[in-house]
Amino acid sequence: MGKDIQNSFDRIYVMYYSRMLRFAKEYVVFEEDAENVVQDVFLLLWEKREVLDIRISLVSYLFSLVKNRSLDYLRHKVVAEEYKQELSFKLMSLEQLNYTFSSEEEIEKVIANAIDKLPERCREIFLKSRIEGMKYREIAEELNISANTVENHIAIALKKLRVELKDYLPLLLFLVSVK
Amino acid sequence: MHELITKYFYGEITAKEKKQLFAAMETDAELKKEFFSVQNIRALTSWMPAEEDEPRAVGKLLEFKHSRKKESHAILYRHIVGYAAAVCIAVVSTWLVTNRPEPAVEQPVIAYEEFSTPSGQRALLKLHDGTTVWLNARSTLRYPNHFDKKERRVELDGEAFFEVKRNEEAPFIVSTEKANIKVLGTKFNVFAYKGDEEFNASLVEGSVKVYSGDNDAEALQIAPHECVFWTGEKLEKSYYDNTDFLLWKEGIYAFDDVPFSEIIRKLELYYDITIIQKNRKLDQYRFSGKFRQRDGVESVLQTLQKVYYFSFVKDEETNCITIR
Repeated sequence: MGKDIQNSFDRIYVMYYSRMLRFAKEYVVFEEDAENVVQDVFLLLWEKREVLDIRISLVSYLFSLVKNRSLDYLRHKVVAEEYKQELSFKLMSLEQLNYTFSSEEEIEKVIANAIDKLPERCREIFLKSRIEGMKYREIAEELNISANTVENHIAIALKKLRVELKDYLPLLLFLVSVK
Repeated sequence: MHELITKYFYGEITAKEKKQLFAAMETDAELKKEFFSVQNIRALTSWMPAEEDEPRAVGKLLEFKHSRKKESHAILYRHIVGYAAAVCIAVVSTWLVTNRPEPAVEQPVIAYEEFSTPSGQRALLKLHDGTTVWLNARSTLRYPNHFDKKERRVELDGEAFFEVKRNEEAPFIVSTEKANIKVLGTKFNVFAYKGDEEFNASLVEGSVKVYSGDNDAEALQIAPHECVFWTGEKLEKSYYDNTDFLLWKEGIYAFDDVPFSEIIRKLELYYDITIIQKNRKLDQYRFSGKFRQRDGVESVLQTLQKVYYFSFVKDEETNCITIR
């Protein structure tokens, strides 16, 4: 696979850059820092493009790279007091995002399947909020429905996704032991 | 308290509520779990692909390659074949131009950067002044690494859509082979491939001046829904009512009641291919339709075949299509 990545560095970049940035932004909070996280990941890929030996799927590899780089960032970032607590919760969330290399299934497929299982309207609204980054009020205006309805749909989506994606999400049992 | 989590993630939480939420999370394990779940579901679902992901990334990739090149000083012309891969032919050349010839003063030097999109691709670029530029296939934008205080000048070979950041002090000038376009801050589309007979500047918002040569005294000024085109001898003002031609930004090529030869010419430009048209009957027909950029030139021809029958063969070696 080492050869593949060298030949298709550009392709990987074009296909995954934006998604990785969205992911990093979830935890890293500041847009500029999120860009740096993703930049670092691609720098690593670029420098190792000759010798990379990926034994797992590409997406899994990219996913873990951006996850680990975000973790590093959160762990080392010296932050002003007002963000300390917020970032520490982000760090805890990401630490509990359970994803390992051994996963046979590609993360992308798992997520796509989970979203496909949502009722149609619910999926439409969830994707608008998620991928297009629209706020409740904006979605409500566009679809000509109330903000409350949007909120309900998102709540249903989150509930269903929590079941579908449970393997990746923290368990209560685990949490109680965290101080 | 749970609704605060929702508010938090959808950007509508106040500073006070945020404090309240975090304080509650410190003691309430259930609430904390809820937060973690929503956070991680959001992150996981951010891996779903979205509409503008790729052109945005192409712009970023060009920047990335540029910074790599600067570092290594290596020649970086890479030729990559295949879908979305062709992206990287575009590399940046930097050269130096002295700005003012006064020997006593330390001469400020301007380095030019150049971005090119390969065939079948488009890119979204952001310039230093906050202006965004969509570059269509096989287009080159050349611009200084920092803009002059008095004017912001870029050079375009190809097609681009500009959203110029307003700056009354420094007009933004797009130089092309046939004409220049001068604006303060506005949205407009420019079609100006070097060597192609067509030139067209179409205004979407604001106001622009279009002129040839260096003198803008006799410039044509246009308003939204107006355009300026090149007749072969001079610039002339016109208007447009159908905005489909702007769809290329979304990766769609739209043709609205145009002669077959026009479609062929555009396909040759966008996909860097030679098309030999030997079926004279087709010349009398006009076509309308929308095509996805990424589906490629053959898919366009296959669709057109369904309207009026013709046959075509592609010679992969010479990258040439013959239509009969």
